[in-house]
Amino acid sequence: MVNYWADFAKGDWQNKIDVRNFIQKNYTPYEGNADFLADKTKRTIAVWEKCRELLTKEREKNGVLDIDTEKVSAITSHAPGYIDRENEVIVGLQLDRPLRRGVIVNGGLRMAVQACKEYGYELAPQIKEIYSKHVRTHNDTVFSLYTPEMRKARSLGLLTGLPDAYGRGRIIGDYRRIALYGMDRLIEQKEKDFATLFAGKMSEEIIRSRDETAQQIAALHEIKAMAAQYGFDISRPADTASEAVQWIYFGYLAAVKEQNGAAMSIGRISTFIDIYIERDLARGILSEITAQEIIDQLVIKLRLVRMLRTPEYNELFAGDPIWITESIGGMGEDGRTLVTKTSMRMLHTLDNLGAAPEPNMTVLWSKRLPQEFKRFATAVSINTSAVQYENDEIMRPVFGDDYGITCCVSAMKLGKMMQFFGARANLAKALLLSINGGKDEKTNKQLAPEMALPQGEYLDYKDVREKYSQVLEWLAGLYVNTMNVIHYSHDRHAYEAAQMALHDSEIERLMAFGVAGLSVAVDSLSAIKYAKVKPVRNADGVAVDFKIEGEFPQYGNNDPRVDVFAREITHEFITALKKHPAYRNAKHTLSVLTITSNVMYGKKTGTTPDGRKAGEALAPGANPMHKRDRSGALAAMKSVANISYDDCRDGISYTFSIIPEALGKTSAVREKNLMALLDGYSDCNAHHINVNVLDRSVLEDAMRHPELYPQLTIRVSGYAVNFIRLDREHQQEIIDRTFYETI
Amino acid sequence: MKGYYHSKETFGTVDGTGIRYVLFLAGCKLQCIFCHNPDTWQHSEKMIDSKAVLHEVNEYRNFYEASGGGITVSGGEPLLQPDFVAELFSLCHNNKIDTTLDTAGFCSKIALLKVLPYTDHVLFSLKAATIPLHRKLTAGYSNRKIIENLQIVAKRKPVTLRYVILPEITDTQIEMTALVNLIHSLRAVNLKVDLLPYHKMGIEKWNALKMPYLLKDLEPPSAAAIVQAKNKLQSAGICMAAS
Repeated sequence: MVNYWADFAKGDWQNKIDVRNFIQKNYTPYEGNADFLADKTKRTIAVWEKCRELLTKEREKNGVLDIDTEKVSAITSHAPGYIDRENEVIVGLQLDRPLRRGVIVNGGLRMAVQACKEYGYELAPQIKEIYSKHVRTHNDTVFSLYTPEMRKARSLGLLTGLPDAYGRGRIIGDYRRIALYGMDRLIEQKEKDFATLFAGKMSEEIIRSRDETAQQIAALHEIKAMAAQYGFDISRPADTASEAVQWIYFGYLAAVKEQNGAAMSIGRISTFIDIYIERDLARGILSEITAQEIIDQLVIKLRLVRMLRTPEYNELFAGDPIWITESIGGMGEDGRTLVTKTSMRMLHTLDNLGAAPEPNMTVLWSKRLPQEFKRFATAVSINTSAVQYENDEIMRPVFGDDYGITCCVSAMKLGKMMQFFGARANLAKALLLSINGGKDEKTNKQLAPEMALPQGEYLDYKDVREKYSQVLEWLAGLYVNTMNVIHYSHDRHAYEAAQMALHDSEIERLMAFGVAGLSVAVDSLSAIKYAKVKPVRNADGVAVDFKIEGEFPQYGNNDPRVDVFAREITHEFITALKKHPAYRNAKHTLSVLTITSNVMYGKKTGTTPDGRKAGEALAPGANPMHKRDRSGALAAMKSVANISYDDCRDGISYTFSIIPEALGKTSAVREKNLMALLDGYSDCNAHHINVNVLDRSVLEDAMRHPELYPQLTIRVSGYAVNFIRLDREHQQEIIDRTFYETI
Repeated sequence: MKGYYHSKETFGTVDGTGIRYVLFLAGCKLQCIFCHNPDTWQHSEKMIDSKAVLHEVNEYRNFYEASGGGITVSGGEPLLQPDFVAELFSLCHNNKIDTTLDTAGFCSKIALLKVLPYTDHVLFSLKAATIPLHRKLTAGYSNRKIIENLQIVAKRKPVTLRYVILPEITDTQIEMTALVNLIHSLRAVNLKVDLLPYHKMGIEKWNALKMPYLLKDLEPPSAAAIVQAKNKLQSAGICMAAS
């Protein structure tokens, strides 16, 4: 019998499913420079060229190349597909052809129908019939459960982006388990769990766990069957680096065939894969060139993952994102760096294949990372704007050293935690409710419980602040209840069997709430407190405009007078949320993250007391409002860093755009300054930063001549997008955003 | 004590080494016709205390230290407020913060000598090496006093001599030769030249101030023109700043 674990250091990982233990026992930290990296191979060039042609065609066809309207996508629904079979080192496509999109209907029928229609397709009648007459979808159930108040909060834009018509996503299967243990061992473990953990008295909870575990076991068998279609036997552990990557990818592929979740991270695979590469290099069966080829080709596959979305969805999350987040680097609990040569190989795909939004390259930053790695990461970042950074120093104490980032900024222990994605509440709109007696400022409808209007000609800070607390208190209850309803329904109709099968059977659950419009709410409170704000009310008593007299401190300038509001409100809101029990005993977390939805939320928000006009975009994530941060980038960063990660465990997103000249005169200086910037930011206990090093004029030119910029990538609030795939409104919003260009 | 200032930048990366806090003081008499910050010529009532500046620099200290940066005082002409700058730099030195002075040297020798002891590095902007051109590019001033100050600085401190290339104005044979001769005559301890390509980004500020911009037809120099000027200096044995 072949010993697939030959040459690996022994450990607990052999007796139980424990990927972290395997990594710790076997990985080789790398502190050297990037000189060893190899260029792309002929095979990679051939495959990528084919993809580029297809991507151009896709763009010409309004962003969607093809849809299979006849067959619902599932793990084994489609025959194997290839791009360029003889040159593909890693194989597997969601459907039978590259860039063809599948329909996944258990989230909701209407969404699938609409999405097809939008691109000139018609969903097959038999699918419509099944899902309208015989199968209830997530969407059906949620809407039957929603209370009138929930519906109102949703339609008026107080709670938005809720995962009630599509997959909630944000679950990371620990795909590495497949490579390390093989399917049979994983199935065996699940069967054991089924028989021992979820047995005895059949309470509702135990029954549900049994049901879910049974679904997981079935999914594991299906993944095995899918791999077999491609000619691979993944019942056993991977024997080589190439197999390890292929096994991981099959697991991931199963997830994206089965789920259309908003964010489908891949986890933290680079350093794990590195162990296999090192073993193969030592065995003499792999070279640096072929090692890089495997990584390049995996990344090509990830760049081709597609979901079928509706126009409403695209309006929220522009640029067709999947958030295939790969977390790279970080430090181990024992003080060794988790950077390996494959951390660099992964980033190097951005050089070899050119910039791209996927996978969502996320460097877990620490001041203690090897200097050469820091230099390399910042250089890639400056050249491609496709890298984001998150502070390992504040996440490791909470999540250990084997966590991954789901979506943009949410950390989770891999294989041990899952989360219920909770979209976000619009805090700017909530503030307007407290000024308008609980009425919605756009429709004059009563939304929050009725309350008195603030007294006096000018808004009184204390009065408004108290009323705001009342609104937040009410909103928190409504928000938790809404999430509970959604996730009950999602578990019932669109359970992520394949992904959950790659978790421990007993897991920690998080419920990830979020806020949008934080900086607008904060500046509005500052205006009310430090300037004089007179509301102009309509016949219904709703403020349609505000007259502001005098100056007021603005968020983004490291001014404690106003920054304190950002800290205070997030603390107040998460505290209020925690008062309401979450579904399945999930732990409440909070993010300050909007992705691109700040544009949409802005549209749904009336004029605010900070001087922002009705309909104008909110600032993304935790960013200051456009052009209000006037003291330079560091002051803005300090303002953001002032928000507590303890309160916002689901992440605090900050997007930083700078022209190259303002980062330094030479590329060496730019790298050095960016490293110092990230070290300093990490020192302030800040959480996340996107870095765009771009000329504003490049973006403007790309708006005029998209055909010249097929790969132009920029980072937007937690993920990267292909700039030319954004609609004009989002493009303009990005250009309007503060660019640091003082020279 | 307090100084008149125009603005501050917490993330300065082009006025000295590393990441720097840049304080732009208000007030300048040279009034160069290509100035890109004409809004700093006059001072308003806006003042800042040197201790407050130090406090702010300390706020961002980890960024500056990680990059080998510090503070730069620019302008305007900082040496029009020598007591303020001297006090600020001395405070910075007491706190182990690196100090860079960005000056055009148009001030009294006394003013310069007040500040220099607390200065680690000087960015010295020379507008022209010959007197006639200097008069033309500024509000009619000779560069005699400026060159005397440059001599003082060059003997005592590391200097980056900044020189703006205005095509066919500051890079003519005559001007470049005069510049080379001047630099040679300085016998500087540590001098590098930083050639800055003229740019038109100041125009909007001139328009906003309703002042006529005399150089509106002048285009920025080509990359080749910069290389040519650089070669001229380098072949005369002059060190260039990295760019």
